[in-house]
Amino acid sequence: MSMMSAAQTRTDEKNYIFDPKKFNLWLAIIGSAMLFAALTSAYIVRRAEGNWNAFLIPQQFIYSTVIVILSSITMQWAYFAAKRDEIIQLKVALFSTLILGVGFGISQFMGYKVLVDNNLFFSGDDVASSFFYAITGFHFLHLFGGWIALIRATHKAFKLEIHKKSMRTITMAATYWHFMGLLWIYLYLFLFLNR
Amino acid sequence: MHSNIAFSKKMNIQTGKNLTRIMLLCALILTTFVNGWAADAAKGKDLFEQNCTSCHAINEKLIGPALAGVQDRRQEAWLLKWVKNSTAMIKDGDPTAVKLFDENNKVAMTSFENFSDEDVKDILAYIATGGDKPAAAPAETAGGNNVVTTGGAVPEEGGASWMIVVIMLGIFILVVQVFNILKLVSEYTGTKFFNPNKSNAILMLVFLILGMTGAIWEFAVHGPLTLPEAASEHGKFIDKMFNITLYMTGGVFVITQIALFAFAYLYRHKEGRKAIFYAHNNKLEVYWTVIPAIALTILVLNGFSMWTKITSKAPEDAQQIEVFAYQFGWKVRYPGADNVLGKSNFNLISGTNNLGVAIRSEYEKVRAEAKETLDELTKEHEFLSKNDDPTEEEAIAIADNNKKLDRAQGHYSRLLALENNERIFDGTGDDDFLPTEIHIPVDEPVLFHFRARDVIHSAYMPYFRVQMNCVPGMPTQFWFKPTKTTAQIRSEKNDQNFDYYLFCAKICGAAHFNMKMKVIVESKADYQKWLRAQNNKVANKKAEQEVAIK
Amino acid sequence: MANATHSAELHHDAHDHHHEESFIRKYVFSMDHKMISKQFLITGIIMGVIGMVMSLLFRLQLAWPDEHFGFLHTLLGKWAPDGKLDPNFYLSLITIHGTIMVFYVLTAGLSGTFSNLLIPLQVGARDMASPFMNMLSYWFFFCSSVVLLASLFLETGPASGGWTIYPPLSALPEAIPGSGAGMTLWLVAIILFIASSLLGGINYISTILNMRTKGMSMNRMPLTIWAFFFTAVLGLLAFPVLLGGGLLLIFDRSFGTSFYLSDIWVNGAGALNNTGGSPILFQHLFWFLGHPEVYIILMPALGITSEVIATNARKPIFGYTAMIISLLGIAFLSFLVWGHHMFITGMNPFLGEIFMVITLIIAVPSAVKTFNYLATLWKGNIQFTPGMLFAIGLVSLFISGGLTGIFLGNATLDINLHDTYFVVAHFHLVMGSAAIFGMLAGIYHWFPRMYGRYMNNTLGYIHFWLTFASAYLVFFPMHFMGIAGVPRRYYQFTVLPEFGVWMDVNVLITIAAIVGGLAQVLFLWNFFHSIFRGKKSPQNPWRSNTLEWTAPVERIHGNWPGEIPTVYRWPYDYSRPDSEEDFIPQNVPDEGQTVEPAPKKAPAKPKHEEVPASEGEDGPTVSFAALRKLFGFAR
Repeated sequence: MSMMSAAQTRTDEKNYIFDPKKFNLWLAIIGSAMLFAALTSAYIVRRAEGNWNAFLIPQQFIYSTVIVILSSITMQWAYFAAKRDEIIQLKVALFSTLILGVGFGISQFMGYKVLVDNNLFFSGDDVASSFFYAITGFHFLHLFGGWIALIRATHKAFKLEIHKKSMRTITMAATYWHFMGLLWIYLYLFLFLNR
Repeated sequence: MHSNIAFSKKMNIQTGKNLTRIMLLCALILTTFVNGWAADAAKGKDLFEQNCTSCHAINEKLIGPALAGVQDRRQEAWLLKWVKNSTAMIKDGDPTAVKLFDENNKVAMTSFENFSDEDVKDILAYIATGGDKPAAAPAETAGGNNVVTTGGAVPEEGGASWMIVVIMLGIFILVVQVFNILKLVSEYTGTKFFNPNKSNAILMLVFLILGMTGAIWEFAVHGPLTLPEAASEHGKFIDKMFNITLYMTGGVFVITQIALFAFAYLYRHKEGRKAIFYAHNNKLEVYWTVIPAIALTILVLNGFSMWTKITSKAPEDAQQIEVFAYQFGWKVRYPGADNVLGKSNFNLISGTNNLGVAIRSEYEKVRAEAKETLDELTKEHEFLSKNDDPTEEEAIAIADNNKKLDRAQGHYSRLLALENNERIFDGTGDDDFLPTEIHIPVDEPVLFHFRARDVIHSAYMPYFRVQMNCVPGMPTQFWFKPTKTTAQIRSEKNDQNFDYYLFCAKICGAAHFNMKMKVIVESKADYQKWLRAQNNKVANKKAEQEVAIK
Repeated sequence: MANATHSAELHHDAHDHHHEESFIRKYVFSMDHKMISKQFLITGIIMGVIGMVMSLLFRLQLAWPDEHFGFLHTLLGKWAPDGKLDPNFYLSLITIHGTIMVFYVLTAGLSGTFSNLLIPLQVGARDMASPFMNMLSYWFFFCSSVVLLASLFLETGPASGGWTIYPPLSALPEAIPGSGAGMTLWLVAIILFIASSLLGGINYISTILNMRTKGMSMNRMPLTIWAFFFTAVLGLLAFPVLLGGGLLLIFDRSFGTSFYLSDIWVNGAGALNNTGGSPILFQHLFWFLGHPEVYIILMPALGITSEVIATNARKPIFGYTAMIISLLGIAFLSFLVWGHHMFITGMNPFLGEIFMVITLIIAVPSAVKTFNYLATLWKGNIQFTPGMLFAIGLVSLFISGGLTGIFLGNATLDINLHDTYFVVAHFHLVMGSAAIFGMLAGIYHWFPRMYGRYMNNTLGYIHFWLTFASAYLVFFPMHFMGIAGVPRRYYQFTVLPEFGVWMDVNVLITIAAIVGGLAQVLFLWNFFHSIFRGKKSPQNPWRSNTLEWTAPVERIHGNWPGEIPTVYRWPYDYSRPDSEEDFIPQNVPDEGQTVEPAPKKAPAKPKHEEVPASEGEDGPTVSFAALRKLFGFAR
């Protein structure tokens, strides 16, 4: 962009209503939500047709929910810390969120193990079971994106590039992380209530 | 001397007996021979048309290879096995079978386990006759290429088509060059040969006129080639609905297209012309929103009421018929003397029970077959799993065996689970019969139950305005009342060879275009006669079987 | 693919020594929306040619089923033994033809090209919200195309269950060979494609909502932008559902699940273990995208038509607000009508009624748009540029195709018309003709914006008239075939003797299609030749109002060399009575004031020196100020 001065770029940006990159993230979240809307609708439609195995959801997934809520709290803490330029707190909070994120993954796998021990598999002709794996599995895949965003934010925080005047990275990481958390809560409640 | 005479007399008698025996033997052999000779080609034709034509033609390759001269290529014993169960032969590794399988996209030929040896020989005899000569062009055809299924003319090389292509290309190049020349000339002489704007405007008008003429020509010429008046009760209402829609949309079509092309011509750029600055008119917007909305509401309400009627519950006394779709054909099942269609289950499908009807004896048979298959595959699995270091080919064989074993295990366990299922083995299926054509009585309600064996098909009977998807795992149904017998429609169309047909209207594989079954609409009396005959056949067969058991 | 054209771009930009960008950065992995739009266009055109060739191949089979074409065997090898198409490959051809045309040409080639080109330029932004995502969007599309084309070379053949890939047919390789590896590659390709569409769509929405220049309020946006906006919203909401449906299909095919499969006994494998699935579930998920998809295809074409007609009729588009509302109506309703593709599945009749009602309602905004186009032409001052011809052609085809939709939307009529040639005729008229005409109109109209040159007009006229005639000749007779009960996706018409009457019609259709195909050769020659040797065009050759014509043609990062123009008016001030000139660009201030006519030559390339801002006035463009200075226009 050498033909424009930095000043001109800033003037252009004054015209923006929202930060376009942040807005992009919101739109991507909407898209992702539609995927889960599709899967959960398919679930409802299929369940209504009968011949449905209503199994109990393993306790491990409750742990997942608790971990997810905790990790959103630490994530938000990180955000506030960044806003107040409290870099040490920021680092601690980000790191904790990362650990909790990994913890979430572990609890998910433990939950899957319990399912397998109870002969509830992904493949086969138990559609209820297949849906459960598919829905939670897709959430888990999205979580990889969350981990990447978190790692990037942590890395930047350690390079001291996140502070009051440079909030975009942490805001976007927090937004996505909260979305993942809210999505999990919705999915868990959905699967629990619609067994 | 006395003993000599006695001896020779004895010898004579013995010789006589032997001679008789020999003659009888010869006669027997000869008869068999003659029987073989006189394998019924006529019967074979029927069997061929009902079972083979969806994928085979005699003189050309269709889905499967052309069958002309097949008896010269293959031994009869091999053919008997192949037709009845080609999949088993491929599995067993018969080299010719495997070769054929590979050459034909690795798609298995349907197995016809319920054919007797005689049936297959009849079909072969029919094939040997060379099949029907290409049918005389029916009245409607204007010399086009058509019926190919039962043999056809030796294909020509595409002489005429190439000519057309070359001529078209020639015209095309000519037109382009004419334009180039005109352009050069106008550049050279400095005059504009033609004003492109005006030319395009004029072409708009020309196109309108040609287009409208074309549309009218289409309606006049191709319109009559579409279906005649509906042959069913609900169909008549559908036709009326169609016509109303046609007039409405046709009117809009004419008005708007004329407006479009006329405006394009009338308001072409002319020197000194300025467009008017007319950006909106809310009243106009309201008019042309509300009027189409009203027109469409009329159509919707009509359609709504019609749809409710068509999809309503069938009358109690409707004739129940099951239509079963499979790759690549149709099977139809009537409920028999008890007027109740027997239950069915896909696990019960076998060579002798194509529709998987719940009949005890068939169940025992298919269960035994499934056990046999399972045992074979299990043995093979044990053998293969001993191999610690398989080559690539062997690995493929192992994976293949695993898949087949998995299926066989599932099939067998599901069959076991059905053993004491009193709900389906209630005996209602014992008297069901499967004719080779659909018969329905005129002016009486018919309720078709649709099922599919493998993929989604669609049962389409356009003359009756009937169509319904046949979905594996999800039975569907459609009821209607036919109003024109086959005889009536034949006289209406002035074509004594015409028949109603059911055919497939949902992509289902290679022979999707070739799946059909005849539908015969007859008077109630004729229909009852036919039903009685079918029920009697069933009863007789049952009696025969009971005798055989005893 | 990108390289061929772009090496020529080197000519143009040889003088561009302002920043050193490597060749790869500039032409291959470009993040400039204008370059990306050209990449979409060229890839879309190439895919379109492939799709069209496929259609001609299967039309040969339909017209001359008894012929044995030697060249077919040479071209296709085992797929045309003895010179006659193999029936399985026939189904592959129609499948891949449909997939390519619907997705690769009419979605990516149309939306991808014009959204990318026009959104930043017409709303007054430097580039898209995230140029990096934009680049990814193209490269996902490219990879998707490669994967799909790769499936053509598989031993078992490409996917062959129809572009709608209903299971169980698409899930069982035993049922049809193309459902083996071919279907797997198809699914991979479509997933990449969905990723591409989502990445692009997100950018489009964000840029339109967030990055409009000063003065560009929503109701001053050109209708193209409105159309692209609604299209992108539709895509964002609908594509993920296809993704879900496709993923479940992958699971059924490769992981032994039973989402769509139940109670199946298939030739060659016997009874399958799947129970409890529903094939209809797939259809719901598929058509939940599938229906909005056709409006994703159509709306950009309609938007382009609005722009091209207004510009070339020298008249404001009639009913600007009504046009926006009808776009919104179509977009909203398109989510509620997907069931009309499923009337015959045996679904709950009540559902069928709902879908029928809403489908017929959606005809109303379409009708409104048509009338508005007609009113725009009324008493206009029409220039028949090739773009204008195609735009008018679109309106004609849209009328014809749209009206036949009214038959199909009525569930009772659909009983006899579903899956017949009537459906084929309908969607080819609205998509395969009308939407393509929109794309072609856009190409002719914005070619000067992309390459700084005109396309050859004469070739354009011939291209138009041949294609227009061919479109009607090919698809109009098909309606009658459909009404006669001839089903679609049939390899040949031999099943019933009464189908024989349509053989002559098949020949006519095929010949018309071949002529149409040849006309596209003209277009291809015109397009590629004009990139290098077309007559140079001025900056605003069509004397149009929208902002893209105020930016210099030479490719500049950031589009405008100085500040972005400020917008003072809506885009449709054509032939204002109070103005001497018959157009007033959006960035001209003070409504009612006349503007000096645009110079005959392209304006001089703006220099780098500081241009003093006018006193007390908020940023007119540098170039415009320079122009005004140049011609001594007094303020």
